[in-house]
Amino acid sequence: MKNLYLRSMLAAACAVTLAACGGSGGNLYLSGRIVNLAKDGLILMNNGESLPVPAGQTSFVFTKLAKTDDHYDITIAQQPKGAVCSITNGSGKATSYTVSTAVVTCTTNTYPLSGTITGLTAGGLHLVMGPDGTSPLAGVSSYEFPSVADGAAYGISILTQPTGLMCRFQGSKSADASDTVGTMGSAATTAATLDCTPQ
Amino acid sequence: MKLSCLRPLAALLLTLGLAACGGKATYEVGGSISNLNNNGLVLANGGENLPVDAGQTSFTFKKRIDYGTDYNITVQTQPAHMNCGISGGSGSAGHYINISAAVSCLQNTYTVGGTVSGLTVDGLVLINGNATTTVAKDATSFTMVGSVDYGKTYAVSVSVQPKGLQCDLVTGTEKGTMGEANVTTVKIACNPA
Repeated sequence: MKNLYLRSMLAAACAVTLAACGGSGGNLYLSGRIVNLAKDGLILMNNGESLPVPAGQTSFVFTKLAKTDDHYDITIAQQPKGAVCSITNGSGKATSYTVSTAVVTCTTNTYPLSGTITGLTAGGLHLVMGPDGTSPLAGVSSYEFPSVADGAAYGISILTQPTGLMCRFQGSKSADASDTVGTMGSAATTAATLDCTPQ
Repeated sequence: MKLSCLRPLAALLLTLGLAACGGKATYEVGGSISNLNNNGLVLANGGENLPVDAGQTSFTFKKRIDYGTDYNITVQTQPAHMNCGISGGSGSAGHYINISAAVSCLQNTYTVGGTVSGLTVDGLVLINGNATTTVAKDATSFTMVGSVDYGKTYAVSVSVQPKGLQCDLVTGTEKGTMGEANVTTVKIACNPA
């Protein structure tokens, strides 16, 4: 009789101890790092919880807590508009170490930005978009910046005029029409036409 | 007789064996290099200078060092237009299996900015390439967001005009190729539109 009493006491104590260890609820935040998320629309998913992540975020945390030894598997339920993200260390067994090791890396889509050139009868033209440049040769009828990010603002300037010519961007707001500004679309985009005439 | 000869022989062999095991181990002092695009880098360790050419991805000092000898690899001369840092560059030989320092180099970068006049309202947005910078009203100077590598081009344009104003960049001040200092000479004049 006494023995049975002791045994059940022991069993109860065991159960309480196990529950304290994480038997219910869980106490681990499932989180990670985000790299280069420049576009809205990303939705992450784990264990039925979907987590929308706006552009510019550099980290994420799921609100549902994980228990030690729970299996987690973070997936992308929806890609951002105009970018592609991928996950590393997105799945595993939850421990205080592993629950914060996921990394979501995103790359914004890029497209060519190009425009028409008229009257380019000489060499020497150098167009720049910040640190990127292009030097259309004499006789060509277009310029192109091959990879501009989806939705990015852009400014193109004439750094050097072709020899003996003066080129001007159509619709330019600057006094000498040496630049053009705009916003990149979600596909190959056409920028302002550049007209070159003898000086 | 025979036994007394064997004993010293065994002792001698044991001593030789131990010496071969690492009594005089020496270590190569070297490591990896990343992103070294310009000439001029000179590394130094223990009085030895080691010039490193652009494009090198590893380095090794000629002088090997003994077990227990301290090493301290430093940058004696920076490469042209770059700044190199060293991690794992000092310690005691034998603390790790190999001495493996990591030299990583970055191109010098500088900011672009200048002065603005007549900016009586908010809303002016400047752009260099794809990087925009908002300039608040009453500002008399500005610095573009981000930095430009030495040798790269920059060209500032007005992306968005402030309401009721026409802001113009003074021709000749707004673009160029980055040198070895911050650009502070871009000029913008705003007037009622």
